Amino acid sequence: MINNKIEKYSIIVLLAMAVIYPVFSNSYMISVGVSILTIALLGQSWNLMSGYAGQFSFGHAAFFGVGAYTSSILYVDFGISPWIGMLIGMAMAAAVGVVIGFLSFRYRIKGDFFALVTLAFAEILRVLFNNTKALKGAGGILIPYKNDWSEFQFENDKIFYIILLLMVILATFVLAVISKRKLGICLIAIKESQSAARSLGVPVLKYKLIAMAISAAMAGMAGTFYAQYYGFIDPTVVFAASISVEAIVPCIIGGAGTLCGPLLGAVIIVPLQELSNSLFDGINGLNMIIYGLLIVVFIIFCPDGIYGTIVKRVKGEK
Amino acid sequence: MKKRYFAVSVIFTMIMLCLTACASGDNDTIKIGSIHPLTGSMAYEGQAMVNSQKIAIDKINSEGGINGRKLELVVKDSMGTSSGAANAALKLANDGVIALTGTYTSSSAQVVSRMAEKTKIPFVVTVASSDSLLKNGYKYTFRIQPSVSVFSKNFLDYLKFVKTDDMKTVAFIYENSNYGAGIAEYISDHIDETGLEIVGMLSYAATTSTLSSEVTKLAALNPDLLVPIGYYSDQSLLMKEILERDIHFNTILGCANGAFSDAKFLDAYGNQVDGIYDINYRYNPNSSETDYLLKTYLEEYGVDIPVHAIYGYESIMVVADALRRADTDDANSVRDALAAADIKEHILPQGDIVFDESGENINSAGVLVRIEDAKHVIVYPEEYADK
Amino acid sequence: MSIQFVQTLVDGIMMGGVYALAALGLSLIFGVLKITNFAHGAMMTIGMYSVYVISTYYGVNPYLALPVSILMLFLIGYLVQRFLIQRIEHAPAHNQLLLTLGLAYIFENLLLIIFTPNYKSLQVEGMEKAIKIGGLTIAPAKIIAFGVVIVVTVLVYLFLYKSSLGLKVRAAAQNDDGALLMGIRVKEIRGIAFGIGAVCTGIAGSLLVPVMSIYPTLGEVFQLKCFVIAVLGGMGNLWGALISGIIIGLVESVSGYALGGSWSELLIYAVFILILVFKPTGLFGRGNRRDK
Repeated sequence: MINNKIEKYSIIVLLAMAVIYPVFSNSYMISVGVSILTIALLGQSWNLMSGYAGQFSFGHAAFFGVGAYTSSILYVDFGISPWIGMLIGMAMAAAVGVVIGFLSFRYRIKGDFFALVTLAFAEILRVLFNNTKALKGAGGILIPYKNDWSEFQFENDKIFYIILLLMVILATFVLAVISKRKLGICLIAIKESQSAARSLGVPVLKYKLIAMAISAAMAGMAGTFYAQYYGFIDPTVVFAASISVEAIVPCIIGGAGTLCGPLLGAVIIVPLQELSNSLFDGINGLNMIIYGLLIVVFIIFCPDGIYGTIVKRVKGEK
Repeated sequence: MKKRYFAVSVIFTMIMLCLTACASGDNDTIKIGSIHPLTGSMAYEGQAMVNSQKIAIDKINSEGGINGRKLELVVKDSMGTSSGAANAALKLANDGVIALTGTYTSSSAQVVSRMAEKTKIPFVVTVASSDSLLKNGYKYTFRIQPSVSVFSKNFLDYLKFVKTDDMKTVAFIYENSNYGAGIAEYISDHIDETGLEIVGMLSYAATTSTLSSEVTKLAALNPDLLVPIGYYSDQSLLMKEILERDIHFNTILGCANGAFSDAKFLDAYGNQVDGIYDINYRYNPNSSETDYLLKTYLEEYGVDIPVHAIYGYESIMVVADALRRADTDDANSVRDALAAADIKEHILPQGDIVFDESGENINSAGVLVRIEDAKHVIVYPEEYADK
Repeated sequence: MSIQFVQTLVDGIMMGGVYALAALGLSLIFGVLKITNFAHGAMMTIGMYSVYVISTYYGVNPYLALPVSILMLFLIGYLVQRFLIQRIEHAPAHNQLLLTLGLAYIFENLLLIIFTPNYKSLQVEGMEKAIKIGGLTIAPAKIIAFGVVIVVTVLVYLFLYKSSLGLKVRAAAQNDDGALLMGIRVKEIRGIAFGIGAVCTGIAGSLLVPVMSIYPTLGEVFQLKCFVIAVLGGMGNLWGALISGIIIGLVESVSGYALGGSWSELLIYAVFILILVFKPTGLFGRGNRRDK
């Protein structure tokens, strides 16, 4: 029960911080806040597929990009509100997730190989979108700037922030529910030992695909938000490997397979990145070196992530 | 346990305070923001842009600054990502810059342009050629540099100086991002105007490690006119393959070619590339500032200035001009001054710098350059022909 | 067959050889250590810069700079394995992969700080023109590269299968504990294996210096291609990597000729997914497959 207690406190503290944050923030801090929440949302999405279900994805950009492109094309070409586009985008992303999942699981691709397959899929989508005129090609899509809530556009960035916060809360809530239900327990069983789970009658393929679909839909939701907030997408931006990396890093830093790991990870990694960007203005590249060092140091000295380590410590103490 | 969370929140708050604290600088200088990719695969282009901006800043400051106040360039790495560019733009906005400049990549430019509109700080584009950049009706974005469609129109226009009577076929080889593909597609849509027939449209990814098969294909197509469009590394790879294999093309005409107009390209290939044409950015050789810029850049950074970096220098000059004319030095009056700009003294090979409603420099243009005896010579417009 | 098509095939094979050598390093590291090395591209770039620096600083032929580059890459590989990766031997796969990714960021940006982002290129005297055989033309740098690739592959093969140290490496790859019981210093052997993998990659990079302009993030271009080749050949399979490298070189070259380079990337990744799905042990079937 210690786990639950820590979890409860952590969530309350993080939520309180997130809610108070915009009150005394300027536009820059809101922008950083949006980055934190975007990464937290991507992190939760990755967390479900990889942290809980144990299927190591290195291609979350694929789902992110599909979500962004679906809502944006529907909006720009067909005038469909991005709110609805977002739902369709989430469905599309989930479909892509199921296809990738089915291909991989059916043919028993796992571990690093699964990671490479997802990476290859994201790259294929990038090349495909970049070279297909009907999908707007390399020119990308410009989202018109206006102030109309029905079209998912706000002049005030704080509203964007709050919407994204709600999305992160929703994703966390979904994860919390799943982990308490049969699905979550079976996923953890699958992660521990697939064959044992199967022999106990767990429909392994079905559950893994459900996890992929939900996870991909979350990433797709983040994609739509990204398009609406930054106002422009092109294949090199939304299908970038850097997006896939951004989905993983907060989980590793915070603790994969835990509810607040990715949230904690995002809250730490983004401000640190911004800080190193500001402090080392003169020497280009130092900011990225620090980012790399952070990853290396955390993996070596804190392999369970911050949250995982705290839980372990507390358990050890009592 | 609660203590631990308290500690985490305290650390977080401290980081945030630190972020805002970094914002406050001294008020004696006028700050101009610069956002370019300084890490990753576009670092060379981005860094060159910042280098030339610094030269412009130093020049203005050594001449006494603006109304007695010094200029300061605040440089940020966009990291080539949208979130990186947005965070950089807003950080600079909070640091009190009176203008933003940037960003080389079009996707970052779109994002900065939106943030500029939100924060009401003028954004002067150094280089970002996408046509859609100014299609938003924004009031705070200005572009000096020729866009994709301007370059393409220049191409259709200047072609007459290159075209011979027996020139019938044309092939394009271009990198497949918005810039290469954008120009190639625009020209191919208007190819009827030229009377040429397209025999090949070959696109490649700018990060490619080989262009051998493309060169073989081009040799087989043997077009009368070859039009290569791309960045420095891929286009110099293309030229290397062509030269190594002694393949001869009747006429080669680059369009905004990252290699052909670069001094490094001439150092590498010397007389072998004589006769190649390029339609590209260029400095005005008759301007008094040009010599200063070329010389200073070479002295400070040890390499010749890449031509796209000319626009880095000019972006600062344009902002400085607006500052001189602005009533006050807040961002809004600078914006109004920019909108009313009519700059006659500049280093670009074009008429006055004047912005239209959308923020586009109405006289922006590239020049037609020919490589003669391992030197770049401006062929057209004649008034900028090298001394 | 037209002469252009033959030329395309020859170009594909030549470039494929270089890819193969780069992938060989990756394959070796995976075969012995079960690590998916994302710092691979960056190590390749280190190889390039080391050759560039020595050759311009001392004014020697870039091929003569190879030994220094080899030594350096071996040291880097060995140290990375001993002091970083060794510590997380038993960590989940994603942690190991991410560690190498972090290293890639560090290496690339160190290069950026040291060498600036400016493009560097070397012209080797007497090698400006391609050699003509019949109607075919081949750049000398590529012929040399291909020759070196074959030699290095044979040397690595001899090392692994004919030397006592190689035997230990293979023993450690198959069964850590067993090897340990036999008195093999597994940690050191693993360091050596990683070092040799890094050397292969570094040589591949060095061979490209006379061919391309180099810049700090150039290695990223080869990263995914190397994974494709290593998987295609069967992770840990030397000759598989060599043949697969040539296959991928051919796929790239032929599709570049027929469809344009934009699409060849897509084709390579598609081949990759198909292979993983239908023939996960690689085309040649003997390679190690990670099973957990």
